[in-house]
Amino acid sequence: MSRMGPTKGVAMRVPKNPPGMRKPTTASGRYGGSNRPGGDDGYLYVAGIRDPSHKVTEFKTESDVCPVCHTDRQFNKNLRLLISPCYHKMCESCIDRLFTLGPEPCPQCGRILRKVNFAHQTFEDLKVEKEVSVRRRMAKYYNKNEKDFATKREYNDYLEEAEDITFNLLNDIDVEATEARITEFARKNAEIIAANEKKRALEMINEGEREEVLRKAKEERARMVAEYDRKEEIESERIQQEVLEAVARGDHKLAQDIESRGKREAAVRAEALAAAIPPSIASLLTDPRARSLQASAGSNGEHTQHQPGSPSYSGRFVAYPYSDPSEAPALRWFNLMDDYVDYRPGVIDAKRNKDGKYRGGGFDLGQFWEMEIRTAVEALGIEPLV
Amino acid sequence: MKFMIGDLPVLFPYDRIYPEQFSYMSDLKATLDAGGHCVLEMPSGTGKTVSLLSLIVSYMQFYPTKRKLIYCSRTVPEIEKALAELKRLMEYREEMGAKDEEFRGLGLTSRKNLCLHPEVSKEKKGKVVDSRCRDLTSAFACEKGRANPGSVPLCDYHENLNNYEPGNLIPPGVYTLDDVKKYGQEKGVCPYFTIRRMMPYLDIVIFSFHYLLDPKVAENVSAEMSKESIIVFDEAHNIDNVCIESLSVDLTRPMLDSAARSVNKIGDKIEELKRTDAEKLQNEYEKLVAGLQEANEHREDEDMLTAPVPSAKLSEDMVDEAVPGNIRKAEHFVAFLKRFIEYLKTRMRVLHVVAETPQSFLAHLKEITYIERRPLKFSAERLTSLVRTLELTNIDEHYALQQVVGFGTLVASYEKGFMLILEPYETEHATVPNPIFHMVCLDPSLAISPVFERFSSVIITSGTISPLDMYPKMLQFQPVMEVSYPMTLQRNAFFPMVITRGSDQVPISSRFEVRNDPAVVRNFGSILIEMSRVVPDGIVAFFPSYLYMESIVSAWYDMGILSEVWKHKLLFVETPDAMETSIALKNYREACNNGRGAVMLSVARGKVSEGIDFDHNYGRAVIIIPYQYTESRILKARLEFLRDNYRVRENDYLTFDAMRHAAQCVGRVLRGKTDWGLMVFADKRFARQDKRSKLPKWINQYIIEAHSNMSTDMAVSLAKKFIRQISQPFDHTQTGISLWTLEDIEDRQRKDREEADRALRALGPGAIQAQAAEGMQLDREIDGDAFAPVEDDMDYGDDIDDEALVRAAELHGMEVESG
Repeated sequence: MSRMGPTKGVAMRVPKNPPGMRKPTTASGRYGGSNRPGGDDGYLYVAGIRDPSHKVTEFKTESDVCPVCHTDRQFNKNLRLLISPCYHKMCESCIDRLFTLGPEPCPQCGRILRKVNFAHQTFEDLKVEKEVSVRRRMAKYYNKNEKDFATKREYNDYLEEAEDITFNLLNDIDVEATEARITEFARKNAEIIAANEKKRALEMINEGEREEVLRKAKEERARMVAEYDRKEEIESERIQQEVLEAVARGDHKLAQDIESRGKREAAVRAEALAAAIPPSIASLLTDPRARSLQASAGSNGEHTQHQPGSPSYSGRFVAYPYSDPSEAPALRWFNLMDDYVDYRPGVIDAKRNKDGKYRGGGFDLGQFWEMEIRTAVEALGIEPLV
Repeated sequence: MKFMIGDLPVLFPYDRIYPEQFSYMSDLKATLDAGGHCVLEMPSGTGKTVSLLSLIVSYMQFYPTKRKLIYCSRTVPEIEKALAELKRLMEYREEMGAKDEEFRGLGLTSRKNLCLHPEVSKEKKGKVVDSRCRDLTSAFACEKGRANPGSVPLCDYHENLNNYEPGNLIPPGVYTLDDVKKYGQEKGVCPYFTIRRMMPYLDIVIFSFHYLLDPKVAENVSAEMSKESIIVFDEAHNIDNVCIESLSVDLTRPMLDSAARSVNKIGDKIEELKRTDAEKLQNEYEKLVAGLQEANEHREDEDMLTAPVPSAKLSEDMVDEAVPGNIRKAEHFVAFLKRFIEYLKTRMRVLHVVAETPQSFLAHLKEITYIERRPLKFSAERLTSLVRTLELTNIDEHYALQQVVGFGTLVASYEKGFMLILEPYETEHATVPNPIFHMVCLDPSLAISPVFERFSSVIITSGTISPLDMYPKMLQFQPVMEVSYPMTLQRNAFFPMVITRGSDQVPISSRFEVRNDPAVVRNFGSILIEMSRVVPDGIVAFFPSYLYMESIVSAWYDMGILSEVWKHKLLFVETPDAMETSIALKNYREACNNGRGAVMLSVARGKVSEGIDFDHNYGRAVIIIPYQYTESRILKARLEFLRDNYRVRENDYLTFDAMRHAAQCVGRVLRGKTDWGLMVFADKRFARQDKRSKLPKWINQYIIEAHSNMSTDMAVSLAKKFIRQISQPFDHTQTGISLWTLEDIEDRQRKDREEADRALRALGPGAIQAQAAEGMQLDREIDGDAFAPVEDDMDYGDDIDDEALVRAAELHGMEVESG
C-alpha cells in the first residue's frame, strides 16, 4: 500500500477497501453494483454509455496511445483504450495482462481495480464522462417532476439543490455530508421516486409506440401515392384514347368535353389523395376516443352478462370440454354472411367451374371461409392444460 | 402627374404611366382599404418600386390614420435604389405642393455599411465591426466611461447622439444611406444609431428582409412598429427560403471546438469574477431567481445575442416562468454547456446519416447526458444574461457558442416543422468525414407568421412570383388579392423559345441520366455557337450547378466548341468566389460595351442569377439549362413536410422551384420596356404545358406553341429574323398603348365605370346592393377583360408568316401527347 501516491481525490479512499476484502463482482455489478452508494466500490462511477439506438459511438482518435505500454494506433490499428473507474485510460491488452488474475492497483494512481469495471469511452472529455455517470446515479433519486411541487419557484429550488449535490459529488466537496443528504432525500421521497420511475418507463414505451405508428403511416402514405400514380396513368391513357377517338370522328366538341372533364376529375382525385389520412394515423386518432367511449359505457354499469362462450363474456371463466367440431360452442362465436367478397389476393385460388359456381381448391367458397373462421376461433374457450 | 384612384389623389413623379402600373396601384389601394394581405406579380423593369411608393405615400398622407410603411428588400443596392426613388418622389410631391412636413424616411443596414469610427470602420468583416462597435457603445461601457472618462474607450459619434433630443436626431426628410452618412460626418453623430433610435418616429423604413423575419434581429429592431403599419416584401420570390434560413442552424466540428474553447474562457472569467466581484454574480443569480422579465429589462442595443426563436413562441410559456434552477448558477450553466457540446461532438462522430425529429433528439440527449428540455430551451436567454453580467467584450469570438446555444434553444422550442439531419460526409464520394449537423426548419410559415399576425397589411411582390397560389399555401396566410399583371408592349420586345432537339434531332435535356451524354453536351454547345454567331453583344447562359458547368465546359473544350465560340465572343465564367465573379462581370461588361460581345457562363441560384441585371446590350440573349435537383436529404425532408402538412405534392413543389429560378434567370435580360432580348429554354421538359404554365404570366403569354418545340436550326433562323426585326428604327415615346397619359387614365376609368354600370343594370336592381359589396372583385375582372384587346393587338403574326408553322407544330404536339 505504501507505494500508492494519493494524488487524486478518488485515491484517498483506497484504504477503505483493502483488496483482501473484495469479492469478485458478478456481471450484474457492472452498472448497478458499482453505483450503489456505500457499495464496495465506494464513490466510483463506472463510465460507459449504453445506447441501444447507436446514435453515439465509442471515442477514439488517430493519436491514441496507451499510457501503460505506449502502444499507439500506428503500431496496432485495433488499439482500444478503455477507462477505469478512476478515469485512467488503458489498452485492452494491458488490462488483460494486469487484471486477469484478480484485482490489482491502477498503474497510474494505485487505486485497486478489477477488469470488469473498465468501460469504453464515449465523450472526448473525461470530466464529462465522469459527470454523466454521477448524473446517472443522481437521476435514480432526483427524478421529481414539476407536478410534484406546488409552485415553480419550489421546483426551481429543488433543481438547483440537485445540481449543487451533483457538483459536490463531482468535485469531491463534503462527500460525507452530501451522501447523507442523498440518503435522506431518497428515504423521505421513496414513494414519489418509485412512482416517477414507473411513469418514466411508461412514457418511454409510449414514445416507442408513437414512433412505430408514424413510421407505419409514412409507409402507408408512400403506398397510397404509388397506387394513385399508377391509377392516374391508366386514367390519362384512357382519356387520351377517348379524345383521339372523338377527334377521329370529327367531334371536336366532345373531345374537348372529355378532356376538361378528365382534368376536373383528376383535380378532385388529387385533392382526395392530399386529404387522405393513412389508416394507422386514423386509428391513432379514433382509438383513444373509442376506448374512452367503451370505458365510459362500462362504468355506467350498462354491460350485460353474456353467456359463457360468447366473445363479450366478462364473467367468471367457465371451461367447457372439447367436443365434436359441429357441436363446438365456438360455433356461436360467429355468424356467417351469405355474401362475402374476399379481398385477400392469392389466399385461395378461386375458379369458376362448369356450372358457373366459384370454387376454391375444389371447395365451395362458403365452406372454405367457414373453415377458416372456425380454425381461427376454435378452442378459444378451452381451459389450458396445467 | 396627378390622378385619382377612387377618392384617393395619387401623385406620380412621371408624366406617363404604364397601364400595369395603374392597375397595380388600383389593386394595392383595394388591399389597403380591405386591410388584408396580397400577392402581386409585376414584370421586372416596369416600375414596381415607384408605383408602390407613390401609392402608399399618397395613401399615408391622404388618410388621417397615421400608417407607417415598412419596405423590405433583399440587398443593399436594392435598398439604395428604393431610397433614391423615394427621395425623387418626395421632391416631386413638394413641387406639386403636397404638404409633407415632418415626413421622415430612412433606410437601415448593418453597422459595417454605416460606421464612421476611424478604426472600426476599417474592419472588413461585418461581424467584427458589430462586436467592436458593441464594445464601444454597450450600456455598461458607456456607464463606466461616463463616470470615469478615459477608463474605457468610447465611440465619440455614439456619445454625441446624447446632445440631441431623442426623436429628433435628424431633421425631417428622406435620406439615402449615403445622405445619412454625410449628415453623420457633418454633425459628428453615428449614422447607425441615429437610424436605430429614430425607428419609432419614422414614416417610412426601408431595410432588408432579415430585420423582420430573422428572430435574432427582428426582436430588437421591429418590436416597436405599430400594428397599423404596411409591410412590403419586394423581390419576395425567395421569401420562403429566407424564412427557412433564418430558423435553421448548421453546426460543424470546428464550430463545436471553438464553442468548447469559448465555454472554457467563460468558465475562467467566472472564476475570476468570483474572486474579484462575487457580488455581481450574486446579483444576477438573484434576478434570475426572481424571474426572467426583470433580468431582461435593459437590453436595448444588444442585438445578435437574443434567442433565435420568435418571442411569440417563447413567450407562450416563458411569461411567468423563471430560468430553470439547474442553470441558475453561473458555474452550473457552464457545466451544462460543456456537457451539451460534448454530446454534440459525440453525435458527430457517427459515420452514417441520421435524420431525426427534435423529440427523438431530446429523448436521446436526456438518456445519454441527462439534459432536460427546459434548461436547454432557456439556454439562449441564460447565455445573454451571463454575457451581460460578465461584461464580455469581443463577442464575435463567441460566435460559435452562440450558434450552439441557438441550436439547443431551437431544438427545445419546436416540435413540429423541424428536422435534425446529420451528414457525415460533404459529398457522396468523400472519404474524409466532415460532419455537419443541420437543424433544418421545414416550415417557412414559422418565421413569417408573427409578421402576418401582427400587421394588418402585408404585401408580397416580385417580378417572378408564379404560381401565385403556392405562396399563401407555403406561408400559411389568406390573401385578399392575388394578381399577376401581363406586360403591355408596343412590339415583341422579347422572344422566348424552347429548344427541345438539336439540329441532329437528338432530344436535349439536362435530366440526370442523359446530361453527360456526348450528343447532348455537343447539342448544348452548338446552341451556344449558333447563338453567339447570331446575337449581338452579351449572352448569358445559366447552368444548373457549378459541378455540371465545369464538366460541360471541359467537354466543350475537348470538342473544340469553345474555340468556335471564341471566334465570335469572349467567354467569362462565374465561380463560387465572389471576388473572381465580380472581376469577370466587370470585364464582361467592358467586352459588351466595346462591341466585341461576350458570353457569361453562370449558375442558376448563383450570385449572378439573383442580383445582377443584364440590361440592354449587356444581355441580348439568355440560355437556360434548367435546374436539376440533387436529392439532398434536407430537400427530401422539406418535400415530405410540405406534402403532409400543406398538401403540396412533391412534383408540384419541385416544378415550382425550378420554374421560379428559370423565371429569375430569364428575367435578368429584360429590365424595362425599351429593352429587348431572346430567351432560350434548352430542355425538352419545357415543351410540356404543365411546366410552362408555372412561368409568370408576362413570360408565358409570349410563348406560343410554334416556338415551344423547336430544333436548334429552326430556333437560330427565327432568332435571326427576330433580331433583324427588332433592330428596325422604332419610336420609343409612342403613348396610348403601353404608356398612358393622364387622359388615358381618365378615359380608362370612365370606361370602367360604364362597364360596371352596364353590368349592374344587366343584373337587375336587386343585384346592385350585392354587387356594391363585391365591387372590388368586379373591378378586377373588368381590368382583365379590358386588357384582352391590347394583348391581341400585340400578339404575334404581324409579319412573321408562320401560320403554317403553327399548324404543323400543333399537329406535332398532338402526336407527342398521344404517343
